[in-house]
Amino acid sequence: MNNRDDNSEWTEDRLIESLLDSLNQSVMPGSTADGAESGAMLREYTELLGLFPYEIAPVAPSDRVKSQLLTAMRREQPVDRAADDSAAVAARSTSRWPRWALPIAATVAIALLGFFGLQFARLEEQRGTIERLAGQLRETNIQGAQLAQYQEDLARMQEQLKLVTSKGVEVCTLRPQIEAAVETDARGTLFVASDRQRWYLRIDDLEPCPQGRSYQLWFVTADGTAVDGGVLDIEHGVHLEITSDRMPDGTVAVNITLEPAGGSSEPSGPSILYGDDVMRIL
Amino acid sequence: MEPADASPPPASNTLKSLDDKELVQAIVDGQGDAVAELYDRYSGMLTALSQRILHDLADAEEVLQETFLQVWNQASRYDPKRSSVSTWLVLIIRSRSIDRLRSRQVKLRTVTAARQEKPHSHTSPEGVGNVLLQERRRRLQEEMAELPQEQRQVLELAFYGGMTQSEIAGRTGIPLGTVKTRTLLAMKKLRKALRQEIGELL
Repeated sequence: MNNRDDNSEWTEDRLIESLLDSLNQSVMPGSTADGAESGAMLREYTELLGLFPYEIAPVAPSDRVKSQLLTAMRREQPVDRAADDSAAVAARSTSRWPRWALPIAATVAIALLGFFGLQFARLEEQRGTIERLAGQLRETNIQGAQLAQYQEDLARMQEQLKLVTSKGVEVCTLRPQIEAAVETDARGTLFVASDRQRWYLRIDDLEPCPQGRSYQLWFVTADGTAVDGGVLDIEHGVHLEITSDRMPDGTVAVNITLEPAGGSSEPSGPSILYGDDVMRIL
Repeated sequence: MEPADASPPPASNTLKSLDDKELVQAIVDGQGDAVAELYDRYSGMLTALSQRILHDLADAEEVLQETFLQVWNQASRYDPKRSSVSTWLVLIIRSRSIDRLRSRQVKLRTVTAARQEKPHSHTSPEGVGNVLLQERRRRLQEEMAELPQEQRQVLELAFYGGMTQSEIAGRTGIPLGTVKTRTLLAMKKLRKALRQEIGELL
């Protein structure tokens, strides 16, 4: 083998190596060959690579691949088709919208977006203000209602204080009767004004009324008659205060009994608290 | 009224009469039907190649679609001086398949085993039915079979596995110099043996 053959073989080897290298760099072969002979050789080796897949039996892709391809092609415009493509030029020239329309439309869209965004932000701010004011108003209303309740309570307490401190007031303590059918820790105090009409009753630690039953207040006169003083609204075992301007004449005792729900026309249930020990304190 | 025989033939018939390079030019001119025609001619072979690389038909079909979209978008980049259209398509889909293979980080040691599987044989009207393609495949199979196993191995790892010669050396444990020698011998032998088939593409 002479030098010319050696050089030719060396060149061929380098061509093959550069060709295989170019495959791994994802570039098309053909840019590395110098001279017509080398170019032709490189081209032959390139085509040899192109023949390799013919060794494999062809595999038909599913029909949807082609239909998807055609759909995608309709969506995509070729990116580097010649600028002077007559079809494209014709299409552009017959286009309904001029080229400047898109940027202007985009600018208008951005401006409108900004405007509506600003308006939205303002509306949000106003809505926040309204909600804050409504909250304050609700709070004020609540405070107003509480104030009214406090005023009512204060008036009642003043009335009660006036009654219990009035001259000639009588006090009667209510206790469970000895050998009472129902045990209780409840205690009560009845204040009766000197006119023997106005009265104030306070009861503490009375147990919540059993389901289907009611506590009922009775004024007992000297002849033993029990006059209905009303059903006591005790549900939660807290203390109870009742004030009234009316008391039956000749009342000598007070009785609280456990009656059927809603009360009875006369005492029928067990006595819970009873008081007949009247004491004048002032 | 024009005479009946003056009407142009249907576009699909016209495209079928075009050779590959003319089809690419038609694509450059914006004829989507030309892509469809090119697809009909080569989709079977290209899908088989991609499936051989990826070992997954669904992936291969995706790559096939991407390949022809690239053809549609970049047909003007085709240079007939560098390769035939079919080789251009082969190199595009091979490159895309290798890229996908790398992105999947499929371990190369699975390639050899999976490659032993007989590829699915599907009918492809434009592929199997084409006598020229059948003859080309028979010739390739013959000549590949003539190669010594060690030369065939390095070629397949390079072409279907996307491996550099250094990677092949590392993968097989064969010295790099030996890998290069085997690759060069195989390529030169095939070039001589397939001169006629190469000439058909030029």
